[in-house]
Amino acid sequence: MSVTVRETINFTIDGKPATAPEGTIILEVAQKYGFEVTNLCYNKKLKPFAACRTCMVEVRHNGKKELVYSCTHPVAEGMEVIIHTEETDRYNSANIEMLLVEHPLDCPICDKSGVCPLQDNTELLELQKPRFEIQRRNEPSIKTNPLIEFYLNRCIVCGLCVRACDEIQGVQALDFHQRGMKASIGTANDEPLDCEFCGQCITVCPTGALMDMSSDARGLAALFKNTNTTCSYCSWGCTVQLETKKNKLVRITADETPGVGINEGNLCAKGRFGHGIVHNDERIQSPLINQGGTFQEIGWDEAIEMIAERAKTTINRNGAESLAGLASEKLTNEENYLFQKLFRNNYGSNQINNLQNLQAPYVNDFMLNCFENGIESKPVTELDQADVVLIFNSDLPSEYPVGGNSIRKGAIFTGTRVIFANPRNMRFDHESRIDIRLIYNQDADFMLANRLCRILIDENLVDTAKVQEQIPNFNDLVASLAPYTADATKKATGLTNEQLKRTATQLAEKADRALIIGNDVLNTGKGKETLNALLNLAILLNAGGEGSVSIYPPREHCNSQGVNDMGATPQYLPGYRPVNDAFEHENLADELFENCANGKIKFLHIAGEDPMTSYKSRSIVEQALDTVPFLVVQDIYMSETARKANLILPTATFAEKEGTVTNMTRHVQKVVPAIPVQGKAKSDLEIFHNLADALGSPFKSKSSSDVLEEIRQTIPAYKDVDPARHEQWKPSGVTAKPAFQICAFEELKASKRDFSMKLLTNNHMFHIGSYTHFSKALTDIGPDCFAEINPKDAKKSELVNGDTLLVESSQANLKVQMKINPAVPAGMVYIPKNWPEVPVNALRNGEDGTVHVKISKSE
Amino acid sequence: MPELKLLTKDIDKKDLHKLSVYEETGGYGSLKKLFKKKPDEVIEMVKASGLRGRGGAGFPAGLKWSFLAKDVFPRYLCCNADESEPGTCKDRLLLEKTPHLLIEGMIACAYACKIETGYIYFRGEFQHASDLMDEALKEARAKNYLGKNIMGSGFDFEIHTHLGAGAYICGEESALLNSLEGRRGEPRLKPPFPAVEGLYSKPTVINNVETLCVVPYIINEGPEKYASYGTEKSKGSKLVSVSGHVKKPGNYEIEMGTTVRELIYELAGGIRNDNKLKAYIPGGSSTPMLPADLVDTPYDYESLAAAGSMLGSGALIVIDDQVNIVESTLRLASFYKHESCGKCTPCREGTRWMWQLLDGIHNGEGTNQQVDKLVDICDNISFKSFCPLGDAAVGPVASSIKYFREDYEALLKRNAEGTA
Ligand SMILES: Cc1cc2nc3c(=O)[nH]c(=O)nc-3n(C[C@H](O)[C@H](O)[C@H](O)COP(=O)(O)O)c2cc1C
Ligand code: SF4
Ligand code: SF4
Ligand code: SF4
Ligand code: SF4
Ligand code: FES
Repeated sequence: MSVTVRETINFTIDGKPATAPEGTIILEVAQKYGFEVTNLCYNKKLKPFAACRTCMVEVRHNGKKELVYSCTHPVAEGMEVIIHTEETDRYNSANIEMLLVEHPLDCPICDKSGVCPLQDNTELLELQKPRFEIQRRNEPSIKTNPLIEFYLNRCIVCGLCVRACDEIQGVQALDFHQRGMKASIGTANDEPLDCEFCGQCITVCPTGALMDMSSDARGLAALFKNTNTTCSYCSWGCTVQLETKKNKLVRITADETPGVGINEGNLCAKGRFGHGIVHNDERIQSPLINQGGTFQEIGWDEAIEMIAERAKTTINRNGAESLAGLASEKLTNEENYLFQKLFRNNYGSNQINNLQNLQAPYVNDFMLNCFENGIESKPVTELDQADVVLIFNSDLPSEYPVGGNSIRKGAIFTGTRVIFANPRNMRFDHESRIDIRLIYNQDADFMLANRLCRILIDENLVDTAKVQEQIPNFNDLVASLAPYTADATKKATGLTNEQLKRTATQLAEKADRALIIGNDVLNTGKGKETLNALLNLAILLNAGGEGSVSIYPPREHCNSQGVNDMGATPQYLPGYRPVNDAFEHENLADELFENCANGKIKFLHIAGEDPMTSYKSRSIVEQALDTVPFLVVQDIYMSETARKANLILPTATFAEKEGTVTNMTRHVQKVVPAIPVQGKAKSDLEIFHNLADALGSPFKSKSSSDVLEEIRQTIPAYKDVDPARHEQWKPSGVTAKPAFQICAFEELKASKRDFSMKLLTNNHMFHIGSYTHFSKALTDIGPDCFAEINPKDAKKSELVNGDTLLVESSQANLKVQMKINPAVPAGMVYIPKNWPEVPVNALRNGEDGTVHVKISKSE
Repeated sequence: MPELKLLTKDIDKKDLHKLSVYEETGGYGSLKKLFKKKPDEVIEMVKASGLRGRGGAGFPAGLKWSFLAKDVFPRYLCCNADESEPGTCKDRLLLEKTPHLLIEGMIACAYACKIETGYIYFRGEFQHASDLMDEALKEARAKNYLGKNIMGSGFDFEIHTHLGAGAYICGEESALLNSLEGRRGEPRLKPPFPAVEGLYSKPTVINNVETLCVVPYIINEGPEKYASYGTEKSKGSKLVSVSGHVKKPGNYEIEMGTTVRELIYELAGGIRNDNKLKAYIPGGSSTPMLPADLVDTPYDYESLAAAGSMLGSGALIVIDDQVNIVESTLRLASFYKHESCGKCTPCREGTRWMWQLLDGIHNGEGTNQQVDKLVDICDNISFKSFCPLGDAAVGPVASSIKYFREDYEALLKRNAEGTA
């Protein structure tokens, strides 16, 4: 909640007493109290527009009767609201009637049929006898982009799409065209839609004027079966509604009903249009065995038996610790839990890890340190109530698009001030614009964060006496901050002390603050130092200021948080219980691929991951997979990793699965199957059960819900969370250990002369992980990989848009198309990591941190 | 009854739009007095003068200025030179003949309201006026009437011009702000009012050309002098554009309270061919028409309101007894159908329905039920639309039915006979 307090107003609706904070509009309260009020241009997520004029109610106040529009009129003390009177019905009806006489009323073939506010309002006012003659429109559909069809005959010009695009998405791709009776909706400058393809416009449209072309299904949406489940892509954890018809997934939509998810019905392109991965002929059709380089189909029983046998012989020959597993940031909690259990209990090996923990093992400790310092962080559903949001090195529209939606809403309704810190001058538009924009030099994240800490202390922006009292090693912090002078910071970050002082001052004000940390921080080579500096910043604000601080660790995939919670790490058992003496063996999983490559690991089981493309360094993975004597990969699609396996097992997509996943802000949410498991595939859960059975010691908990129950028994923090309520797990049994995390200062490494440019790579707006490439809709809007460079660098190397770039590192080189983007700073090459044909991770040469490269025009 | 020329005293002087000529007439003389006063004193003077907005709504100018959100800067001044109301051409006269008077008025307003940036929003067709204004601004800048530290007063002020793209709705103040910001010209929700959140979400004063042109007079002659003219609540003079079936159409500056009869018969020379007056629209196309028997109504805010219409933008449209009122109404309905911004249902759809029904009646396809339907539609729009354009569109239609239903009936009857 924001720190500003609003007074409570008492009034009545149709005679029933009601209360609401001052400034609340009548419509919002009426709906909350369960009253039905006609309306067509209102959406709680948007600023009131008051254009359709169908929401008139009568109010009596101070002895005066008034007809007002409930979507804009605020409640007042002692007001009586009457929803239906002869007058309000007559006036509201007139407008709906006028809209209806023009409407095609082709409901049987309309996407919104049955879930259509125009239908609902017509029904509510019992409009059967129209006053006006029919004047149907008959314009052709506009299909000039791959995903959204404009069938504007159904448009009622409510402007919701235009406003959603502007206010929720910050894009402004849509606008009204013409005026008066000719007023209609169109794209900016009438050019084919080229936008973020979030589909928010489709969701908010109260008619079927905007249609999702990624689906063939048309008509009577109310007859489709709806299943609410959690998106399987990024770690924001949106609730998606899977619409199925005869056991086939036809479309993904989003339910805006409050409480249905953490995302208020907002989605991004991946979440909404990325369903092409489900019904897809390219899925692995059967278990496959590698016979001298070619894969042959085998039966499930045979495959499971083979793995179990191989496991047993390997244990006998090389010891249990020579078996290792790579759990997945995309599998459910239940699956990851059973997977680690399979290793720890059935095999007796602690060699289990996941890609995030492998690449940034300090992230879990960062989270635990937050807890020990009493920084528990609010549920992300309250992000729109924050007073200040610091977006730290996250290109939000690509990384957590729906997170951006919440922040924009906060900017509009709460007056949230946004501080945007990023090496790239990325777009993050919202109503009030960015309050402070800090565009700093790549990799200088830790300098920036530490300098902010120092300013808070030096300028007495926080109550240092209070901090000193609460945090024992305050003096150590002060000492450690000595190198972060204004000059040194300016030199490293390119930011002036004024900019940083303004930032620190904003952060220090009494406020509810949220710090969103992007995954790019982990690739700077100083991920740990940066996280610790940000934690110190949070501690300073928390202990020495007023209000609250929420801060969440960066997590990438839908269950990057959960896989760690489930103990799929060599350091922690489920629930972050340290692995102490339980396994007195060498820790091989810490350096999983190295230990495969050097022969210590003899058996590797990879569940649902493609480290060949998604691990930071390709060469070590390649060596590992080529060396390890036995490799099992279970996945949905034939990945580059799978190609190296001895045995491949086909698995189910999220639409076919049951379980839970935990998002980056620790909301534990349900995964609900909407269709049966396709073809011969099996859910990962079933595969782990099969293996345990084959090993002769079956798991006690059978179903996914049994496993969740077992997790609840094992992990105290999960004990009371109800996934149906989208709740956050709260740390439990944490002993407070307030302490700043002190890191030694180390100067930024300069670029090497031959490789003078720095590479930045992360997820493209339309892609994440290795599956989105199998979704036609997403490849339609994001078909090609482009490297991006600054105009200055382009000029220097005489490069123009569309050229092919040769990118070389000391390790490898690759070719990629390029475009010039002034948002990319000089000296940086940005390449998204999602195209298998552009293996960016091949460029890494074994060193940590940013990869240095050089570029030239490829002939 | 002569005119009362407070603004237009020298309007016919050759080359008055040039700075040197304007200065000869005493132009920019108010600035010395202005800068001797404190900004708040200037606001008090304008309040005391009783000056009310000449753009249509008649809101007291000084009061509007005093509503600006305290301590929020920058603030903006927008002069509304969109003058698009059918019948109205009085701002154009001032803009083309005496642009420096507007600049002088804007300086006074800006000084009083602590504003450093002003805009003049011209209707799209006012290219010539806008060119003249750009020239005038250049001259004023050169003489330091604009720019930094104006005449050594320490006050900075700059004015920019902007041409609209031809939409009547952009005369509505919040649509004007949208348009100026490069957005779609459609009205904004109020509150917040422009004085709190206007241009670029900053406190903004919006005044009509004529309103601002009065200010130098008030500074020069004192508010008491100005308030000594007119009626109890409608002070000073008013520029009225008289058009329609009169012998001498044109702009006349009258003392508030002059009767409509005097305007028509004395100043405008009477009705063409000495026909009989049938009706008049007193304040521009948006104001309800009044029948001939109300011709003795004094031309001021209160009297016209009491008669059931409005002073509006000060455009008197005179209709003689040679026309069927349906024809005039259809013409106006077609204007509003064309100019509705399309934002809200009642106006977007209603203006079309009104036009369509009127057109039908006019073309011999009408029935009595359709006249009732017109009344019904008027009721559905009136005070139910998002902005006053909807109400304005209703004005002529509803009043024509109220006063001249017999004209409708005559057409219906003719139609019925024609088809029989
Ligand atoms: C549809 C519509 C059109 C308007 N057109 C104009 C116009 O052309 N010029 C003008 O000064 N005011 C116009 N107004 C009035 C303005 O909204 C505003 O009240 C006025 O500019 C304020 O200035 P004033 O207080 O000096 O009159 C219009 C209002 C409406 C509703
Ligand atoms: S899909 Fe999203 S970005 Fe594109 S037009 Fe719709 S709301 Fe705007
Ligand atoms: S397309 Fe849909 S949301 Fe957009 S204005 Fe038309 S009806 Fe409203
Ligand atoms: S923001 Fe993340 S969770 Fe939400 S729809 Fe997009 S990919 Fe899915
Ligand atoms: S009444 Fe409605 S449609 Fe008409 S101009 Fe105003 S906002 Fe636009
Ligand atoms: S919902 Fe209130 S005017 Fe449209």
